[in-house]
Amino acid sequence: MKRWLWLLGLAFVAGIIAFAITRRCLDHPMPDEMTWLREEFSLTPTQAASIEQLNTAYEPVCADHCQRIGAARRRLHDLETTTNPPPAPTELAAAQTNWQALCDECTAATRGHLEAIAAQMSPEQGKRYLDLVGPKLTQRNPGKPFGLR
Amino acid sequence: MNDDDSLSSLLKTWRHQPREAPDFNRGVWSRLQAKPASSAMPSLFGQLRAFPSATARWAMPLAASFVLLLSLATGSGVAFAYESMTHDDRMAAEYARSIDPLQMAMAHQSSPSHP
Repeated sequence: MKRWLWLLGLAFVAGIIAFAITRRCLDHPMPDEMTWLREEFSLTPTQAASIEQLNTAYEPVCADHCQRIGAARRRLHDLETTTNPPPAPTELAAAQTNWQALCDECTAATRGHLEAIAAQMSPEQGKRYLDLVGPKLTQRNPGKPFGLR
Repeated sequence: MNDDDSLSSLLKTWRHQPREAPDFNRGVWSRLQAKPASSAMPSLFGQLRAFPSATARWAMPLAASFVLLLSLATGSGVAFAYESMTHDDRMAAEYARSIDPLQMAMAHQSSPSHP
């Protein structure tokens, strides 16, 4: 009986090791986004070209948003951590309002970009794309900039 | 030495003369018929108890090897299933990170800039 318990324990450990090794072997680097889109949503060359154009057009918009988000976050952080002298309430409120507006603008732009890409696909693939990627966008808590109080 | 010789000669003169037993066969058959019918086919437990130890000697390691192989195969199978089930989800998350400025800023909190 004791030997069988040992064997069961050993089998359990062997199963875990097999799981870990297999996961490690399967852990290949992710393909780039366009390759994934092409394969996952069975894009035709025309659809892929249109989506690449949309991505290229969106890059500067995204870069601009990133830059403004960084600046707004730094500004908010400075205002919230400065105690001597404490910032004027109106100044802090203005920075928070600016932050909220920026987040809304970014979220709307990203959603618009997703919908523009989905529109290039066949209707069912477009819906699947939105269902799969949409929930992965930032679900932010308004008024609570990430990493800040 | 003399004792051995005398014993040997005595043994040579010995003749076995079994007693007549006219009822021997009938006695055997009557005893066999008196046995319950179930005992003719031993129970599973009885068969297991009578499992030859020579068979157990190779059957047990074989069963242990089978259990180990089964657990290895199960571990690998679960990993394959997990990979295929979460692949799309992870790719979608990676893709969303590449187009969502808020996530980019979150990833580069110390030096926010476009990658």
